[in-house]
Amino acid sequence: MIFSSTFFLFLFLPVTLILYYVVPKRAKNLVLLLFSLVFYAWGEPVYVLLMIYSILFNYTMGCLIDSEPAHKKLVLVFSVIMNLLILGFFKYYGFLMENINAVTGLDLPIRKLALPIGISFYTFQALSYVIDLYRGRFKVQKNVIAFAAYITMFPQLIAGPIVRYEDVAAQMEDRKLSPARFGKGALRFIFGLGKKVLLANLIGSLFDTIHASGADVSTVTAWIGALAYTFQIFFDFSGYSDMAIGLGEMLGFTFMENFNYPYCAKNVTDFWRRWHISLSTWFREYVYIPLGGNRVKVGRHILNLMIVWMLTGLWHGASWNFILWGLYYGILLIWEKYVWSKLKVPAAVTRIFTVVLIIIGWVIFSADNVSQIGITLAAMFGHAKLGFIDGTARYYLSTNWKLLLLELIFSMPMVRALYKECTKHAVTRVLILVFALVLLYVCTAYLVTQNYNPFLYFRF
Amino acid sequence: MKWTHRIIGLLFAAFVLLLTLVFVILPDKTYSSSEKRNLQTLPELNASTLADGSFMSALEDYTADQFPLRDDWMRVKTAISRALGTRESQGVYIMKDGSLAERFDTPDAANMQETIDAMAAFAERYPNLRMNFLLVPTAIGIYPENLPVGAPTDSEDDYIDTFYGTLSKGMTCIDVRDVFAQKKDALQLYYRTDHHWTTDAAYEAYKIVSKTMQFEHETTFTSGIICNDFRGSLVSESGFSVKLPDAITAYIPNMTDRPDEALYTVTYAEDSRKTASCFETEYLLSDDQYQVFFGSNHPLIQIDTAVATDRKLLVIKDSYANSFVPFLTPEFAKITIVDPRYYYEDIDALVISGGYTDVLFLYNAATLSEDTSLKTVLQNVQ
Repeated sequence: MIFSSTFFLFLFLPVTLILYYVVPKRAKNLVLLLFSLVFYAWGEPVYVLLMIYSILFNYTMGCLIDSEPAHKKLVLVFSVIMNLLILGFFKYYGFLMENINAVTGLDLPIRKLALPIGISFYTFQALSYVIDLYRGRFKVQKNVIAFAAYITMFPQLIAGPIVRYEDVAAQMEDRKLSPARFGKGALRFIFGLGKKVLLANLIGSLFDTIHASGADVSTVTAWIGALAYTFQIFFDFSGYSDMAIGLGEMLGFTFMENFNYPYCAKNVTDFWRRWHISLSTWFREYVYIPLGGNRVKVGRHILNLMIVWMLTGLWHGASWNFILWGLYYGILLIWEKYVWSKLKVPAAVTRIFTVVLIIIGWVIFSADNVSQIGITLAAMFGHAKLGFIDGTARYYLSTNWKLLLLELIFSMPMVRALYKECTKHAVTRVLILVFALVLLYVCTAYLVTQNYNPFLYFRF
Repeated sequence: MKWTHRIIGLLFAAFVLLLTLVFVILPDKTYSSSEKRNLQTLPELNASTLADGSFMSALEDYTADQFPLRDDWMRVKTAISRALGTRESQGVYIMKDGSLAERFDTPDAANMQETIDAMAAFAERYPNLRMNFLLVPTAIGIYPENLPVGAPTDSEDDYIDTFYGTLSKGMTCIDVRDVFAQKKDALQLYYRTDHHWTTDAAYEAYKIVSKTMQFEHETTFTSGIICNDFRGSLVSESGFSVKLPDAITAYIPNMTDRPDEALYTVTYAEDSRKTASCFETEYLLSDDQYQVFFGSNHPLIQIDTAVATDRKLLVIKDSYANSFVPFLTPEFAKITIVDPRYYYEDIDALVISGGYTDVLFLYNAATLSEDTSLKTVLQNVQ
């Protein structure tokens, strides 16, 4: 199930929230768990069993770490390996076999499994629990329902943010609900919905059109396409995070912020402090620092960075373009740390350069295969099949410039500053209220008509 | 901000619950006339639909399809999309003159060659039949200058040139493009809201066909508007609203000079129903009034006329022919209309037993470019 559907907003959410608010405090985790399982089983009826297995496994490992302090390292290693094996099997097995076949020329049978939705997210959450429990950061969770509710929590189940157990340990026991908090969450949810349904989906259809043209583009069209994807992925992902944070708030949780206007980053390092913060935090906490981080010799530091960034790329999907994308950022970060920062380049230049590098990154990320990356980049940098600009590019510009401008405005922190200012005065608060309602109304129009799908000859 | 949050929370809950309530209370609809399709009704719940997830996806479609005020939400959405600058939806463009027209996509070359080969083989099997092909351009082919500037579309003109260029010698190609280009300002050749040609355009084509196929009579026609609130398929396909609906015109042959030849019967093969008219007027009250011509598409229709002639015609066609065939009744003793998209019988048996003298293939460029049924029928693979 996805948040941006009429079914979620007008059936699942009201039923869940009403029950959640009606039941007494001690039953809230159970309600949350049951509805989260329904939410997950909705698209993955079979894989819900895998998830239940993962919950019971990690719960048991947690109890073992707690009760067997002498063997806790062994338990930790075992549970990390098991979690990674499950993730690896369901997510990377087919990809691995394909590449083994390609390299060795063998023809080993491949059974490509459908990817269990959210497995990368909930496996990482489970890992954060066992690892931090081993480190003694919090007390073991003995209540299996509370633990299961943490792993399955539907707001962040399928697209993050990756909530570390440490951050919500107290909230799993006790959460405060209030009308004001509900409204705060609703407001955040509406903003997220608007980002996803309006900004991401509309510019996404422009990207799809250009993407489908393949090499038959001019340089300007190729840039419009890359820019469209740059906006689409940001508003899609951060909109989803906003909805998750808003829903969490409605349920009494406080989740960490996941995005902080990443396209206004000072440099690439800064970009990764602002983009999918919960993921980069996770990798820093559980991979980069355990590897030694930057408190090692230069050679080792470079190796550490490359390992972390290759894994980050791979985490996004079992495909070479994701690995390339990860390595691309690894190289950029090393370059920035050891070369660029010593060149004394004016800040404005670095900023512009950073945006271009980010856009190139998304070209790598969005490609269907490795050869397409080359075609698109060549088109963007002067080797386009249809010249620098053609009629089609002008058409895309003339029919999308308003949308592109809106996307640009909403990617900039001045929107947040304006919002903050508006919260300070009674009159402008009414404006926020009206804006939120209009936004909800418009989003509903887009949700309802999402499957507007006329079929003209069905009766003949 | 606390109070503002409380009010927002209240309004959010009220908005969601109100719509949920209306959704639950309103009775389900089975058909949407604006989208011209069946709507999803409450799906059946059992172990297998639950296990494979089909129950869940059907239930999601159900909430979307049965959502209150669906058509009004659609209007809100298209109004916003228009305001943001959108000129295209589902492959349908809003042209500069406010009409709607479908984009043309260059067809698969292999499929085109197979269709042409099947036609050549068919023409070879029946050398005594006079074969004609009328490939009608669509609105985008005749009015490309009305497209939004730079809008991506492939050239229909090139496609028609290639198709006619590769068609075998035994086939007479009838090209209406020059005449349509001359008349395109004086006449409305295409509906503003539908992908079909107007009857006026069909009449212009008739005049050319009448010369090429050497019709014996010079028939005159009386025309009149039979419907003036036609909102065609392109409106439902794109969701764009069009302020002006279209008018549908009908042409009736003037047979006063040979009144004993005026009557004919139309037989619909699938249910053996007989009528005495090409016009199924009850469809003027339906949501797709173009169906007034023969009640839309049928696998096989036979027209038996009282015209004193040896000529018998086989028409192999798409829906553009529906408004065209009424012009032909004064010229043939028999007209058989086959729509390959719905026809699964033996075409050779039909041709051999039918005693035809003429064959007319009539397609519009958009349908033919995507069609795979014509070659299947002509190859007569049972």
